[in-house]
Amino acid sequence: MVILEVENLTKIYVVGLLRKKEILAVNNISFRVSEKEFISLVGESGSGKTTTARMILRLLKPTSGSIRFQGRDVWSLKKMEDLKWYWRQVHGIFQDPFASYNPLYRIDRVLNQVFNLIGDIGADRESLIREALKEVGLRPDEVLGRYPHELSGGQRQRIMVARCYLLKPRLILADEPVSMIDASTRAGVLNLFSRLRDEYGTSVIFITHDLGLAYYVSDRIMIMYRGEIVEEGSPEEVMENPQHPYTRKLREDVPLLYRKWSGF
Amino acid sequence: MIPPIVMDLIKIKKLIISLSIFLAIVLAGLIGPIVYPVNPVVMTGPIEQPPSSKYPLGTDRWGRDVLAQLLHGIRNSLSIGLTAAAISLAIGVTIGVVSGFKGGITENSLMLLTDVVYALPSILLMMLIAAYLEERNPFLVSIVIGVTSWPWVARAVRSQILSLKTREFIDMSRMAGLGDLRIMFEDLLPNMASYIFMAFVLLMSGAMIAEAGLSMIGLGVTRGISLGIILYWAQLLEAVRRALWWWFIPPGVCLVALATSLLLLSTALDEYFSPRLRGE
Repeated sequence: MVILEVENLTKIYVVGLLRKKEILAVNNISFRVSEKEFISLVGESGSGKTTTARMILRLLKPTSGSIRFQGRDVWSLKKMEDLKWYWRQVHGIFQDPFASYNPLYRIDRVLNQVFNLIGDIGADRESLIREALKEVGLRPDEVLGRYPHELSGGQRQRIMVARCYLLKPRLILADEPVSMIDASTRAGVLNLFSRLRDEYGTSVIFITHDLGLAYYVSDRIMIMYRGEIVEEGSPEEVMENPQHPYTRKLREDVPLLYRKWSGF
Repeated sequence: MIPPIVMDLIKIKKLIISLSIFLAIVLAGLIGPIVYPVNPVVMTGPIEQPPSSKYPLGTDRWGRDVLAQLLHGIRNSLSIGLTAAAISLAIGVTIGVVSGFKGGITENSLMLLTDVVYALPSILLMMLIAAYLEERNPFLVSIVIGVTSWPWVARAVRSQILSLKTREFIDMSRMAGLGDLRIMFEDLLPNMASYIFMAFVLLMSGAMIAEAGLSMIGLGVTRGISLGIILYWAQLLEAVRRALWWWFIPPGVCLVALATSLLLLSTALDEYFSPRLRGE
């Protein structure tokens, strides 16, 4: 079942006052996301991945094109209760775990904010939060009540993942959610996404520049290059039979575990 | 029971030092004239007397008591500083917030206005006013200083809004279903509170210095006394060359102490508001 439909999505940034210059960030992309699907959006910096995510999260208005979630046009949602419904279903994790926290508040705030969307569920909030933190491999007593600057990048990223785990949305847009988590816990956090998928039917749009990682975790890979989706397919298709020259270049950059560097 | 915020504030040494200097001078200005009820603008003794038990800070050319002048001068300088700072803060923050949020043509025209006022010195405005008005009261001087000293505040507030607007924690709050007003009051303004408060403190010290500057070239208040006016007469009658130190050193020291303690206060508050600077 398709839950998200993106059609001819375009974002053009206009810079300058007198001499206007247009920057085409996202160029006419279309794709669909089905229930329980794990899609990776792979591309280099500046390829439009994050812009696409922000438009889907209804944080950045597209220049043209439409985004429909469960049949409803996302940008025609105006009332706060509709918006809360949308963000309850579709949530995001941002790339920069340093900028994702208001430095003046304890980190508990981002977790407590979730209850603003869920409403009163009758359960004990504190124990729900503690459980979610344990799921991402954090000790609740070590992180609760602390300020963002007291935690490492990896800890902050995991708290963001914990926020999504508390919310259990239908679709998660995760923008490089594990970039600062060390390799030993990375797998555990990624498994959390697949557990959400298996238990709650959550779909994931996983944004990364790491094709190797995308190959491991996703059902489908989309390669973005200069604002366009240049290649789309199952991980095997993309890895074994890349069509676009950029994909071939990306594939060559994936480090292989068993091959040693043979000098330059 | 002492609230924890007070405990945090007490820990900052700079804040305690600057606040005590500032409050000591403020108290002198507020209570001084009551405790030492000598009229500062009439002749109360022989001229140009050095400090003695009868005249703690001596007298000036017209036999006026310098201590009485100083205490009244502090009071007037502070009230001019407060009024001028309040006026420029109101203008600066409003223009900064509106231009930062609205963007586009509104932003451009407001910033053009800001640049024009930036280039307009308060001395020029005061000279024009002085040419028309023979009598200038402290409120008029505050207004002139207030309407000419806000541009940097507008620019600072605008750039703060521009940078905060794009931070991801704003998006996190937005995705949690917080409305514009809540984001404004929970995320944006607390992050700017230190800026706004510091701007106020700096504006106040700037306004008191500006008042002294205007007074010293004869463009200040025409009635009453202020720190600048004492310095104006001391300079006019060559108190420095004639070594009448009790005439110009006390007002000078008060002015510097006021301005410095306010500057120090603003840096101390900056440390309080951004926990990272506290070095924890």
